[in-house]
Amino acid sequence: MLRWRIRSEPRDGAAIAWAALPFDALEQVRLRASQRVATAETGPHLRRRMGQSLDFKEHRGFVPGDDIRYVDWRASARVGGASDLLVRQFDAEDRQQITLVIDLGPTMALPEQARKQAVAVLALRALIWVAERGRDEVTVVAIGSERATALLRIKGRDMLVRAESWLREATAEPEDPRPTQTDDPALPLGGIGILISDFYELEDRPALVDWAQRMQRRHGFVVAVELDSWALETTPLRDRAVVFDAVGGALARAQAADVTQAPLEHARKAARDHVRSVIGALDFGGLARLRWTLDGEVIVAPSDWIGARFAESPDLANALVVRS
Amino acid sequence: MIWAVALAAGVISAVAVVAWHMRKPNWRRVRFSGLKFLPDLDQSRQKPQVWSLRLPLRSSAFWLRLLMLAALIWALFDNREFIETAAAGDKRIGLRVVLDASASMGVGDPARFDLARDEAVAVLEAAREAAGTAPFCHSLWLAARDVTRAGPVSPEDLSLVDPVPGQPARLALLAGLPDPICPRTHVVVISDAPRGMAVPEDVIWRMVGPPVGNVALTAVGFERPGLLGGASVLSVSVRQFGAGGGAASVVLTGPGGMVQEKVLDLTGLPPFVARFEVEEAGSYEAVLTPGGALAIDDRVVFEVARPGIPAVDWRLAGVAAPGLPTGQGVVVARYDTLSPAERAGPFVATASEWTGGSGRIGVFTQDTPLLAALNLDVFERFAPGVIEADLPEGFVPVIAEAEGGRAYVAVRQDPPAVLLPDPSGAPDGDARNLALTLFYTALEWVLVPELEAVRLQWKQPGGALWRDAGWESDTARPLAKSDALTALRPVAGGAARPGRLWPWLLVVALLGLAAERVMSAVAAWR
Repeated sequence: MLRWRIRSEPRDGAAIAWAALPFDALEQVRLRASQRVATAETGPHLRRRMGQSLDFKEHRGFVPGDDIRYVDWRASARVGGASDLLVRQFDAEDRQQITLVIDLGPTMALPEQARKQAVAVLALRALIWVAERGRDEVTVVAIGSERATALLRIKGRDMLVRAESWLREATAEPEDPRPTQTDDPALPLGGIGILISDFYELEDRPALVDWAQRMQRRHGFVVAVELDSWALETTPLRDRAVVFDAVGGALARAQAADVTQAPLEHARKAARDHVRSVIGALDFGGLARLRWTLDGEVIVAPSDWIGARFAESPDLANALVVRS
Repeated sequence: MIWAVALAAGVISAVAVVAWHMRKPNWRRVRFSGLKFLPDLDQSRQKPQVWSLRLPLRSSAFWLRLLMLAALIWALFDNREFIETAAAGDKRIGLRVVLDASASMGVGDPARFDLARDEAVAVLEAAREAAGTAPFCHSLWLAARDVTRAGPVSPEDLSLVDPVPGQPARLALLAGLPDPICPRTHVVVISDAPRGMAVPEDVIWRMVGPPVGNVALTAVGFERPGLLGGASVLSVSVRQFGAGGGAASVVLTGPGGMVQEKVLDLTGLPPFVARFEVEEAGSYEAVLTPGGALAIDDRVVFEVARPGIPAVDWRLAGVAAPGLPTGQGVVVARYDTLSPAERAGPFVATASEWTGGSGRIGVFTQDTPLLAALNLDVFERFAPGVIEADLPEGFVPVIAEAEGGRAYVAVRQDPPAVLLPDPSGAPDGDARNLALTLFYTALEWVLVPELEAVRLQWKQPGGALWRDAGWESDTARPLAKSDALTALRPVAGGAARPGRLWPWLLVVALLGLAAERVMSAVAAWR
């Protein structure tokens, strides 16, 4: 959709999206993730099974089918006997598959002082940094209104640089990510999927539901990160009368109204029930849920805020350990 | 006046726009991502609008609305024409109608100015019809007191609110003033005066108003007493214009409560002069009753400075002094005994002698009172000596010898002074009589000027003083035939095509409105 902008300054939230990453906290996440990994293909992650890295693990008895090149003739000679051939066993080197899906729907463009979309971008950058350090392969999916979807598949060096460039372009127009890859990639078996959204209007974005299903089917495990901005958004509503503009599927309310405690509590309960039911509907057997609450710190110190979220979310670190 | 109203309207509108922009909604427009979960809310009980004291100087809509208002008000009040295009050679009519707004235009029933206004409308219609499809513009000009600041007026403003003295020359001056708005090709002057000599030939002169009789005070003369003494006399001239007759009273009031009245019989032949003897200096006022059709010329005021004869400082021993007041004033002496200060003032001085010889007169001044009583043949027979020295600055010869051109008598006008031969040396008989006649004639010329014109001011019923009201007095001029309007046809006169400004101002206002609407829609969309 073509839009004419009168103002050219960056939108609110840019400072959050492109804040410095909390490298120390993320390194801890990476180290925890590297302890136990299920892999889909050869890569740098170590795992407790026979692999093909140069790091020797142990000897075991030769069984038919073993590659004759892995027979340790010298050790076998010490043990003795043709039937006592020993083969060298190595730690595995496997490449992790991570699929990151962010929601760019209209509600994700709010609140204006700390857009959830910007927070999601910050989280994505943090995850990609972890993936880059682990030499994983990442697929980033940005889903806007309707079926507008942008895709990026990256691996190797400079993943974060390439991903940030792509993210800047994909999120330049809220709710309308520019498709950068038209082919719908076939996700490999194994790996993890992370879905970041407020889950307010999932029913209007079938692409998001489709990706949630696909990630669970192929990767087997998905973490749904819920961005909760309720407190941040509702606190200023009580200052004075308000008129609500339309947001997504919610119609505008042109009549000035006083927002009191009772309807807010009612709405809060309805929103939680809604999110719970939506995430429950997305769970096809491999979905964990995280809730990140947006507060004032995300505005003044987004780097610290995202570091704290990673630190207090062991599930996220565990999520990077994909079940085989 | 109309621009004052426009200014007031502009200021009021601008204040209204500023006040409207200073309103601020008492609610906040928000976007709330959880809106779909929010139940219906009660309407706010607070006032929907509050005032903000901040000026909306950064609001584009504010400036656009001010622009629209300014353009609309300007278009509403400005009906002026301007030169739209320049197309040399185009035939057009640029008509200038100059209306005489002088005081005499208020005379008659209906007033001459009303007739002139009707005539102006008729001329405009005739010119418009004559123009056909050719470009046509016109302007109406009123002959005001200060013609250099005169300018076009609208037909709605044509009223004789300030009748001032006007003359054809003034009207002609108005006819020739440039006008960038509507360059003239034709000029029509409508007046109650006949065409004057100074009016250019291409000006169409339309005269209105039948003759109306009038009686006016036109002049006042002042006459001093002779050398034998007596009273000074004021001569108040009354002039009758048109048929009239009957009697008119002139009442003169002066300093010290002096009141004199003279009744003039106007049935005879002019001039009609009322003579009053006056003795004191001061302000005088003469009032004429009945005054005729025009009231502005029936009362005059003037000043009399020195009603009597000035004192004389007589130093000539050989000549008898008449019974004149003595003291500092006019010096009578030999010229070479006068001080420089005395030579700069009035004097009668002797600069030569009567020798008893003869001479031949060369040039002399005709009609001078100094020689009026002399027989020049007798003068040649007993000619005096000439003034040998060069004449002082300001002196001119009255009578001079034939051979050398040297003066026998010389005079200076201001201050009055005479250089002449000393009569005391003249032989008895005709020569002495001649010398004394010349001497005393010269003395009277210095002491008693001829009838002096008094500077008048006509006092108006409201108290205003006009110096030129006398120009208006002749309201009885016969109505001359006006110039025909056949010359009102398109001519290649200039390269101007008149246009109106207000449609363009409306366009500006509409463009401003469109821009404001677009900006408003964009703001709502965002």
